[in-house]
Amino acid sequence: MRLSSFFYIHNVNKLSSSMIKDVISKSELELLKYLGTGIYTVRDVVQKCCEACIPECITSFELLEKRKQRGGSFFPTSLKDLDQVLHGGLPFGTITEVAGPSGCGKTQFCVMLSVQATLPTTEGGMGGAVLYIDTESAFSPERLMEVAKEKHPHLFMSQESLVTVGQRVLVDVQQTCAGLIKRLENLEEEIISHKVKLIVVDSIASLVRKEYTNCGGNRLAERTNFLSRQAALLKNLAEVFNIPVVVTNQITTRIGHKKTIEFEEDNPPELTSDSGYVTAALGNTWSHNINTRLILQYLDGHVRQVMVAKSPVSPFTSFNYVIENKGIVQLEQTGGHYAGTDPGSQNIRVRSSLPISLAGT
Amino acid sequence: MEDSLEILKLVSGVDQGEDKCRISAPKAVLALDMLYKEQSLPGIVTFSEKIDSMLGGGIPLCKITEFCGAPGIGKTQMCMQLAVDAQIPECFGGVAGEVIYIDTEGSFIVERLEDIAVATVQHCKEMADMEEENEELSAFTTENVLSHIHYYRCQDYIELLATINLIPDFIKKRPKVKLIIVDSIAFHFRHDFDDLSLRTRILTMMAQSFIRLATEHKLAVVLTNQMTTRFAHGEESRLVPALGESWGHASTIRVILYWEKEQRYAWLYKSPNKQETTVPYQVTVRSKYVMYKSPNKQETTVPYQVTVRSKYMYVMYTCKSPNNQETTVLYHVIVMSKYVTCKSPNKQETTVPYHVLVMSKYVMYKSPNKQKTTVPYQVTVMSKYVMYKSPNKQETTVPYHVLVMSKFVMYKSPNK
Repeated sequence: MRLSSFFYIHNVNKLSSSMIKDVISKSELELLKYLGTGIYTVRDVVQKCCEACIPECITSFELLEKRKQRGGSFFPTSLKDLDQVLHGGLPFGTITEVAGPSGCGKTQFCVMLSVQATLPTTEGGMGGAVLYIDTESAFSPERLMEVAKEKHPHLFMSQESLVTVGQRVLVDVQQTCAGLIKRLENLEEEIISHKVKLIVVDSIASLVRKEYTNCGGNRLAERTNFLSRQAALLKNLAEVFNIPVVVTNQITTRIGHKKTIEFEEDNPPELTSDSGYVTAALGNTWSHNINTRLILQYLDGHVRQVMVAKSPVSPFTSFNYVIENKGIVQLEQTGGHYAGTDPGSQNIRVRSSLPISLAGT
Repeated sequence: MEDSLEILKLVSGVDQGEDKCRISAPKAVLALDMLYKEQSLPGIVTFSEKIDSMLGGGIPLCKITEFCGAPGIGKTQMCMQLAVDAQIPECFGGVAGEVIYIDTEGSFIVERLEDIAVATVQHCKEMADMEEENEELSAFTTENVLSHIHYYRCQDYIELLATINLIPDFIKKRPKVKLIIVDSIAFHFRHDFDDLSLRTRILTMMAQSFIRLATEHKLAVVLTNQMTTRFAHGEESRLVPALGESWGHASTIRVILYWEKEQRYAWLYKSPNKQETTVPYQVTVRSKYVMYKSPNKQETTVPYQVTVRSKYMYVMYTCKSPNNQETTVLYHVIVMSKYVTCKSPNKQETTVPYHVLVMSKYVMYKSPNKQKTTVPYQVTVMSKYVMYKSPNKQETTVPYHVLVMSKFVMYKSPNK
């Protein structure tokens, strides 16, 4: 490494990324030893390396202008109130997680978003393709067509127009964690060639929970590492192509967490389940990795609720919805709008991710 | 002996001249001088009065402050708020600096930042109306605020390191930088790091760079950190700040944000000059709903913050005083929020419309300090009742209180 890297950096302006990585992660003293030159040369080398890979600096004003020029930086979900609290929809360039108990409509939510994304921009869509990574084999093309037809009858009058929806949703079934990671690493080409505007991973939890079942120390660390890696990859894709990424998560029961069981006298316990409570799966570290979390839960039988549990733009908000033929429909009069800020007992749930009443299941 | 002293001076002088990157060997300073120096440096207010007083007047300059917390607790909100607050003009007790914002997680939503900037600018403008200090303020616009926040998006830790290494060059071009924010420091160090010793070494290097930047350029460094679950033998698993024990030494001040039932708390975990304390805080929505009438002003809409809790209702809003004198006037507030979250019989929370009518007195106190410009103070009005109507609850009376922020967020200086 000694002479070659020195000359390489000094004489040629092309710097390989692994070389930069080597140089930057070493201390000056180590570099002195490796390069066998004086301190000024070393600093010069470090400076050049840094300059080669520093990200572009932009003021937030320019950023705002840039985003406005691009014609909005949010993908409208078509649920009016949700869009409103989220400043117009799911933000581009970030990961949005949809968590909820089984059968609560996570997949429906994803299908609905897929339909929305394929619509032309004049209809509130993004006029692009959708990459739907399905790990649970839950995706139903029939349902996709149905939602498209029922939700936008004026757009999809004929069979031919429906076909275009089908052509624009690429479904990718992945059965293993390794396969999924590999897929994510090689997505760029596909995103460009198909003009993908939305990536859906349904669900992020199932594979991980299947493969890393023995939650002994080492396995757990591996799982965390895998999830963080996956999140970094998804974030990178979202960022580079400026598209939203939607992932779904399952729920899990946590047992015997003291903080949630203690109640003040005048604060009657909400969580009637005596010891356990239900919360989004995959743990705390994963929750750090997502930018927005939406929680779906049962309210009573037919009616369900969606809650904004984590968001950089929105307060805690909730509103009710039902699932119909045309997908998810928000109930008008139950809209939570802005004052859904009820910290009440919701906050402790958020703290370790919302536990969800099991009543409906 | 004296000869050698001269030689030493000469040598260190030469070293300094030739090599600007390196810090000249620092000389010992008197503790008294340090005290004066620290007193003269204002802090960056967080706009959360309790957190400010906990930290002794906001985020201190020349120090590294680390915020740790669970997901969704509001770390990014805090960072954005600070990025705006750091630019508050000096006449309001701000530091009027520029900001470098390094984002590793990609949760920087510039639209939200715009909201915060608009609200803060408006807040200051309203205060200015009664103080007539418009010179500095005329430059304090949303546009300027946003264009003084320099944003870097770092995709991996190499980019992060490179950015940090080149910050001194950037500061040379823009000497007014007063705050560096890294949100979050942990993200890139929590995946793809098999070599833990390398990780520790890089983190230590970064910590050193931050300390150097903070002291050399008299700026504040704010980092956020994630929380991780630690398992110990024979104990319950618990949440601790990520990146390990040795990173804990990096920051001068460490604040842990956490949930306790329905309330967010900030816990001062480590600080050189303050006791360990815990204070509640809130993340609130600012929107335009409050109408208020005052005797000599037109009905206006001002930003306010409402948080409905189970027992109390806080209505926080900025209010123009009708004149500059110490005075007591009646005013009339109609809060036009439309929804409140209530418990319904099936123990699920639902959101229902409600209506609040508040009448109370508006009291202004005289500032404790007679200097006319920068002394911020706060008036708290406590009224006793709020009535609300809701379809599925009886009309009830609950205590609440109103905070009127009359001039500026109050903060304590460390020595008062």
